[in-house]
Amino acid sequence: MTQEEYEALKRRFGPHPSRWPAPFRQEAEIFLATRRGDAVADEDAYLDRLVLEASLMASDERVLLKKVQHKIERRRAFPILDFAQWLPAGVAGGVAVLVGSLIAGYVTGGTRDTLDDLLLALAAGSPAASTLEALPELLAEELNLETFL
Amino acid sequence: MAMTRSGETDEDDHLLARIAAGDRAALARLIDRHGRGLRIFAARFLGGNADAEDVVQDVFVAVWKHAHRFDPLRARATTWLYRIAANRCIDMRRRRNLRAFLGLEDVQESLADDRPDAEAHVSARAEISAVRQGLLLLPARQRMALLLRVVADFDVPSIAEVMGTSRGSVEQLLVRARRSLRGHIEKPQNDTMPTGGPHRDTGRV
Repeated sequence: MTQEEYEALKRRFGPHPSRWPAPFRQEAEIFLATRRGDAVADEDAYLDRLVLEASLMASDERVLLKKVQHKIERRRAFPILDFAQWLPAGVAGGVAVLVGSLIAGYVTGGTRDTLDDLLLALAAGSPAASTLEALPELLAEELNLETFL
Repeated sequence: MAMTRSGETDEDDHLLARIAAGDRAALARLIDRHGRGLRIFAARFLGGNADAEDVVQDVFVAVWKHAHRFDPLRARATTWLYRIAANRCIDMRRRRNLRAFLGLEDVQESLADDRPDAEAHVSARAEISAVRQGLLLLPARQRMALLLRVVADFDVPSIAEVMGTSRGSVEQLLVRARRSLRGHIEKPQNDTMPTGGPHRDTGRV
């Protein structure tokens, strides 16, 4: 930060840097401390200062304001845009659930086909003779009851 | 509610109340005050400017829509703002990871996205460069805690409030983040403390 930048920030946010918003406040504190020749308090403070310096970047709040206002107007005109931003995640989540359900259905349903067919036939009152004979065996297999038969 | 600089809090609370009443000038002032901090936070957390711009714009659109929900008795305006930003950043990161998983995006390309004009504002010292690289290598929660501490100038209770975690957890995250970062800086160059550097044997979270 230069003296000119510091003065510009005083005009922008007031005369007391302690009341400025972050990160302007910390930048001003570093500027003032450097001007006074103060040593950095401790290792963590020194590292934090490095992180702040490494993080700083140019920004233009007027451009940001215009973009925000544009978005507000656009969303007012097209409220559907509020939901559109979640569309990719929503679609991906839906696909994942669908695929998971298909796999789970295939795995669990695949082993029960024969038994379900038999029970359906019994319920309908017309089991084929051959399948009726096989019923105890299938039931035992399904319930893991081989040892009892 | 965490205690910090009262002048800042008063003005921001007042601005949010005006925004809730539909005052566009108050929104402009809030953007003027916090646009830069939020953008730096988002850019350094996400590791890219393009996503950070989207996040910050969305934060202020959300503020415009939901300012009436802000309760100054329950939270500070700045923690409320950064909490929205932190949540948006996490969502953005998830979406980016999903896109990368689906092969729609190269994550490395995003991380390398830094504009030349931004670089001009930062010292070319190797230490700064190492810190910037080290930040990107930190686990997301450590990086978020450290950025909230350094960029937003939050104390531990405020960081805990933004991240929705305990104070003890935040202290641990900060200790680990600083330790990792220090290790990253010391790796390429053994000269860690320049003249006029900090005194050792002190600890601060």
